[in-house]
Amino acid sequence: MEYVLRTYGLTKRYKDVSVVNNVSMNIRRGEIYGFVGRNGAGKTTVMRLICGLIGKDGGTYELFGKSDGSAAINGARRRTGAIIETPSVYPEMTAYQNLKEQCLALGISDEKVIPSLLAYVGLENTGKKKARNFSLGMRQRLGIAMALVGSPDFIILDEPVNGLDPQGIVEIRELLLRLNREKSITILISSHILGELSKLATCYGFIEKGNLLKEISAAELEEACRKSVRLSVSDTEKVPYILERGLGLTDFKILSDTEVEIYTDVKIGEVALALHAGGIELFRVREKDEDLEGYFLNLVGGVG
Amino acid sequence: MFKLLRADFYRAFRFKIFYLLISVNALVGLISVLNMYSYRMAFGVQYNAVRVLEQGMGGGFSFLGILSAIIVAIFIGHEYSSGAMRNKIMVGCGRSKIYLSKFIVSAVMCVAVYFSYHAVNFILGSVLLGWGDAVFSDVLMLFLAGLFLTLAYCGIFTFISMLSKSTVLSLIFGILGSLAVLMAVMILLGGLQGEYIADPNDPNGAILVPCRWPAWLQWLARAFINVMPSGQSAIISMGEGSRYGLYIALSAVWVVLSGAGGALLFRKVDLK
Repeated sequence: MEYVLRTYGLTKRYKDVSVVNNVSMNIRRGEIYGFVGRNGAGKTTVMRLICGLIGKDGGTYELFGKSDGSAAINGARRRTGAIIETPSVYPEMTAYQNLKEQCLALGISDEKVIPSLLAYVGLENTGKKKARNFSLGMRQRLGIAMALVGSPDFIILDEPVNGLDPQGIVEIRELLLRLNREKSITILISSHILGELSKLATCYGFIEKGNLLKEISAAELEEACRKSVRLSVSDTEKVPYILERGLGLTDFKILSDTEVEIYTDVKIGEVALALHAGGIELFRVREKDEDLEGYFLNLVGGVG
Repeated sequence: MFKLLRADFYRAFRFKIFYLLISVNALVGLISVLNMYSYRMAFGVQYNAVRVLEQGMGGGFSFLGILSAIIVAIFIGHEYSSGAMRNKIMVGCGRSKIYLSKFIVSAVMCVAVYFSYHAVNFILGSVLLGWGDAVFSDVLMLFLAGLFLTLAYCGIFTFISMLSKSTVLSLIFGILGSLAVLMAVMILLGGLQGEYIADPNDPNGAILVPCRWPAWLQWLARAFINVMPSGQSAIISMGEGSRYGLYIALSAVWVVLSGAGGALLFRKVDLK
């Protein structure tokens, strides 16, 4: 498995307060990695560390297999584009001029890439309009176009849909999905809009108080968030027989000697009767219907 | 490095403040030439283009330093406020190269502003005032001293702007710093000149008592005046400069120290 980014115990402290604490994350090539955490959890700081904007206080990271301490890290950074917090554009310049400046900084002398980049992000008709007169969505798209100069293999986006209207959010989402599918660009994205993130991400990292709590794939998350009914019973030994033969249910899982989870819509009364008839006591029934938000809140211990 | 320079020059040529300050300094040059011409008409031929050249080094109030501070602070400060500095670091341009590119481009702009004053003097001043009996090599050294003075200012202000990351802070430090140093230089110059006291033999007269500071303090004061760009600027503007070679060397030291130190420190700067 090829990793675009791996961090090992990455740590950042401000005045003895750890804002990033021993974070070890792994992003594979081709993934859209959703970085989830509350305000001040440390998402942006991790991104800044990876982008080389701030110095670390511990740990290390590898970008495209190049260690951050090595001379080759700048070469690896050239394969990376990023937007941290706000798009970095010169407000007094047009979209074309902004891209040209970025092209020059990266040594791309062929200006033909600029119109195609503008078209790709839907800014081909901005003409002489200065970036200062762009809407937030347009600035965001220009920021993404800037990040795409140099044809990066990995882009880092910190809250790219923050403050956008619903249409803007959809446009950015579509754009990112296209980048991932058409150009095979690996994406690290953080967002507060978890519902939106769940439409994009193929993998998640949950961070809280500077600690990476969990990394989980979208498939695993879907499994964990699947709508289900969890039963606490006296004994699960005969439960499969009762559910399959008695009720015709096949989509369930025995979790332990006393717990079973059923993943289809069931009538609880029928289940209770069937179990009772089979000599099994039903102690408790718990319905589970989580989304990414619920999963995250459960993980970090509630809304507090 | 070459790529960064191309990108920075691309922006510099679209930097309106740069053109504004070129115009302002050219206008100051024009006023200086016309002013000197009026003196020439009134008092004689000693008021020539050399005096205008000397006054172009700051005019006694570190004007060159103030102009340089404005250019560098706004050019580099805007790079931070727009987030473009982040962009360059994130794509692996290398911090030392970024620093040096910013310094070189700022220096070119500051020198262009310096030239704008002297271009007016070299053209209009030559016609209206002439160069008197000035020797070419002296005029050249004086011009080069001003050029290096400008580079020294630029080096120091680039250092401040790159490390402070703020346009406002850089402007305040740059302008007030130049003026504060100038004030200190003026106080020291006054002290070194000695003081006038009443002449006991002549109720209407005064006599000059030489400076009574210890020798080591006088040496320190002179060193401070010569080393500081605002000090050099004040001395040259007053027409009392003579050690132009020394000024050039000291300014070059400022450029090297600020460039090397700034590039080194910039590698440790955290960017938001």
